Amino acid sequence: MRREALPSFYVQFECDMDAARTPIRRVIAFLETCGFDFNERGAWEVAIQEGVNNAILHCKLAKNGSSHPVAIEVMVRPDYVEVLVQDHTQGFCWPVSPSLPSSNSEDGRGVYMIHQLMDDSDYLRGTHSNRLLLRKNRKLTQAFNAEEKKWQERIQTLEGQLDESDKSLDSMQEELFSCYESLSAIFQFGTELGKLDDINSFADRLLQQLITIMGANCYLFRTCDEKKRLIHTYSRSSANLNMPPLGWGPGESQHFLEPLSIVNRKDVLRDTNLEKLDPADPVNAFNAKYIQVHPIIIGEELIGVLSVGASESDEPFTSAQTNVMHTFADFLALQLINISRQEERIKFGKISKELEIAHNIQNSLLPSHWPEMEGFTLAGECITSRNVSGDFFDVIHHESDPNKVLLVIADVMGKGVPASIFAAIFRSLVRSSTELFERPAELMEKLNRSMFEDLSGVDMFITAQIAYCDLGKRVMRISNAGHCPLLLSARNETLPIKTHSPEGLPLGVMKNPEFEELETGIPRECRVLMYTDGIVETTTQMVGNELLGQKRLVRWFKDARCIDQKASGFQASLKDHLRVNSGDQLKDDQTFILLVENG
Amino acid sequence: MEFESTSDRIVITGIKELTATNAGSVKDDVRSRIRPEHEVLDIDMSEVRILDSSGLGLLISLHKVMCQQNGLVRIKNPTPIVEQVLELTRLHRLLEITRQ
Repeated sequence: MRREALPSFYVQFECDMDAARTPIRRVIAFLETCGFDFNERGAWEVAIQEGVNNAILHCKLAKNGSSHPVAIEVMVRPDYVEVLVQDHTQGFCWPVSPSLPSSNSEDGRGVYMIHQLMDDSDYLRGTHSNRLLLRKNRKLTQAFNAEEKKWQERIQTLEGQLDESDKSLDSMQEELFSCYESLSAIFQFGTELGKLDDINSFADRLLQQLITIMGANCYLFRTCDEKKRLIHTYSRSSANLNMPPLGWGPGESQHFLEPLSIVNRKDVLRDTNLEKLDPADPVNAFNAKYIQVHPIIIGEELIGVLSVGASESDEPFTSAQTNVMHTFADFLALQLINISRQEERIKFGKISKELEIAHNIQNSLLPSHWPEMEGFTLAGECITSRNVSGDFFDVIHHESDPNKVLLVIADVMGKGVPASIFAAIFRSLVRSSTELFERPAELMEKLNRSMFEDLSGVDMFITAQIAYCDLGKRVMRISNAGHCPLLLSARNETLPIKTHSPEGLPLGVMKNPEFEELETGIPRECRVLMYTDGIVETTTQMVGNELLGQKRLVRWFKDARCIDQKASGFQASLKDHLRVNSGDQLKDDQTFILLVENG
Repeated sequence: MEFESTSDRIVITGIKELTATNAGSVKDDVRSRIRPEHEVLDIDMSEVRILDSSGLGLLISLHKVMCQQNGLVRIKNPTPIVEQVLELTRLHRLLEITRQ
């Protein structure tokens, strides 16, 4: 490359002030041609003048100096200017840090002015010649260069931005087109939703449309079973992609693309030319160049995983194509969720209906009418907190003696369907054990023997109380299996309230426990109450929304016993006492039996 | 260089430069024209394209002369380079600079 010559100027003149004037002006004129402005030229003229002044002053002082000329050499560089003033005098000492003389001094300011006006100055004192070197940076050029550089950078930035804008516009155009396609397709499929009767074929058609839009060849959509950590093939583009279930839990092949995307909960992209897949990875069946796998997550719920493969494309999927894939996947997932919820609703409706039937059956197993007993009345009720209950009561009359009656009450641990099944079994066993009618403890032992295996197998138990009453002989035999005590009293206020709770473990706790049998007399105008724990553990309005509790129940019993009323009257009074706040859900089943002798 | 003199003031105009080249002759010329009754010496420096240390020496010399007769030197309308030199050497504090 040819280097362009830098501007320079040289002049020499006689060592005389008058002779120096014109050469100095020529130097300044030269600087003007190099683009120096008025102020810069003024500073240079003063500095050169001072340099020449010194040269001529010392030339005059020198004995032999007058015969040698003074020379000025100028070199203009892009970023600075250098001027050399050369004389052949004896020279002088150049002060390192020149300072101003007193303000009244008429000389001694020359070197100081050079120092102030120039960026750099140096005086090389030699044997035969001296050189004063003046240097000043080109402010104008610097500024111009800086400005030029700034503009060049600005232009480069703008060009870069323009390129980026072009790319963005291309990308936006592509994305817009893809969005249009996907929206159009989704609207088209959306119209089918109302008449959707086969979600599988809907998924097939939707995903076929997706791979057409994406320029892909194949897809595989699998749904997730999060409990078992398995994915099951739901829809695929061809029959050969009907893959068996694939696990994605610990110890499974989590490096396969589908498990990988599920575990990391993000898309997985593969260029199979650059990164070979595990030969056992199911998506190998795509035989595709580019594969994208997308985990479908709605809210926090993992719905499935969609894999798409392109074998004929020269480029990976674009962001617009990826967006379309995500949109379609989410759309399909929402339809699956909707259908699943619809199915759940239908299923729930069926269960509700079945529970209602169960409730009716269970009610039919409870005593529906009370037999006539001379001087005695009976009442009982099972108030359930759910459709079906684990509470149970029964009143069984002796086949031949109307004065003998067996009162049975039981509470199966837990509530709902499982408890109700055991309650039904309990009833059947009691009803089929008429031979033990008058021996409640033995009956209880038989019940435990019969139900122990089943109850302990599911970690359940039953509390129960059986009271055999011979109203003719006025005697009562009671057996208890971990149940609430029986309350016994009479209308006569002087008689105490007795609570009978003979020893006995709940049924299903021990294989062969012993049950105590307690015999007691039945007083005149007796009042008998048998109840489940739901009665005392209820929160009732009558006692300021506090638990009713055993003591309060006994107090009610003590107050109520004095009233001459039938069992149904006591029943109404007790129910009123148990009344809960209207907004409160009953927390436990409430069951009771009342036996009352009327005067 | 031109001189204009009144009873109390003397005005110098038309100076193109004040350097070592002409400082001596200008000094002699001006001093010869200052009379005891002159209170102000106005030096018009609007056309001065260069002022060097010798020129400064001249101005200080004239300042001393005027001070001796209780007068003063005023630098009128200095060019930028003259003003820069006066400021660099802090003589703008000594000599009164006026602009019209």
